[in-house]
Amino acid sequence: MISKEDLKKMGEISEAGSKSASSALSVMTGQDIAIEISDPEIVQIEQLQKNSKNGLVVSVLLKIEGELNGEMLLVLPESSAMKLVDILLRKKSQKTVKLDKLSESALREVGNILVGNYLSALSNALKMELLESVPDLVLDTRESIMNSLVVEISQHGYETIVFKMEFEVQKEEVKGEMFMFFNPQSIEKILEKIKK
Amino acid sequence: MSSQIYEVGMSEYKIAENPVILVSSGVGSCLIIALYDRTRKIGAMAHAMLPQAADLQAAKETPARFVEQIIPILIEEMEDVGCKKENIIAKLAGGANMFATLGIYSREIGVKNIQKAHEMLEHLNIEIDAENTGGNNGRHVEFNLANGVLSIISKI
Repeated sequence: MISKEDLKKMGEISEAGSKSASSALSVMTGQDIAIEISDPEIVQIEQLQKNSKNGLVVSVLLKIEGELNGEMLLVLPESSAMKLVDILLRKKSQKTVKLDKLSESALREVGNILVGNYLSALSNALKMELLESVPDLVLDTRESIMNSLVVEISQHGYETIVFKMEFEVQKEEVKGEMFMFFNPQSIEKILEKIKK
Repeated sequence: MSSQIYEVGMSEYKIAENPVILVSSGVGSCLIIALYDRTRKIGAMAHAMLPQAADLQAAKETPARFVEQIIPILIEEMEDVGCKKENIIAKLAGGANMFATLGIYSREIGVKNIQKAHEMLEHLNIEIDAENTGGNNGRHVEFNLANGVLSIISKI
């Protein structure tokens, strides 16, 4: 059983990671980023797909590897993803109307940098070696993306802890979400470290 | 006659009679199993997540999570409302492999879901009338019990 106190402590560590990720995004875009970090929550995995609007999103998925295992998912509504590409590639506003190879690779890099910064903050706090996989980019409905992620998570159990950050590049109307999941053995390892 | 629409979420199943449309949106690597009795216009649809349950308790608690566990239940419940097994046909949709990264790690759960459904339906002597499975895209699925048509919409 995971106590409220344990969840809170893990939330604090994750929050440091989220803040580090958002400041990296701020550097990349040259803009202020507003963030909202949700308290970690234990949910039945099916809940992750609920309340998903059926619009198209760009998602970047990375596996967490090394001493901890899990998944990190970046979700950007399609319009936000295109605006973000405009900013990153220094294009005029609304120039990107379809994702080509270059914009996809720019968005994968965003995933890489956000996750890399999140993980290095965790790595420092927990004194663990953490790695990330090559980013995987998929454009589809948010529902079907969450559906596939839930199936992956289900292999480790039917409940999971959701760590979540929402962010907004304020002047540019770019909105996105970042989800972090750790498998149960990794949660145990994190708790052991915290308790020491 | 306008049909009522019932949502079938992940790990859920529903049995209904015309005029009803059973809907599952956002089907990724999950598998939609749709069974239909043309003579009675009764259909059943399940939105299963994994090929089989790891233990009995999981199977009992949420059978619709698992392809292996839910198929016999769908048939049984259709029989309970008067369908004859020989009139039941099956349609399958889903089982995509959206993320290449996950494909490697989870050894393509989508594919395993499809294989398990084939195995079970063959074992139970239910004909697979139509199938739209695999690939890399998510699917929105609608099952119209007026005619047994399973419509699939991919947004990509």
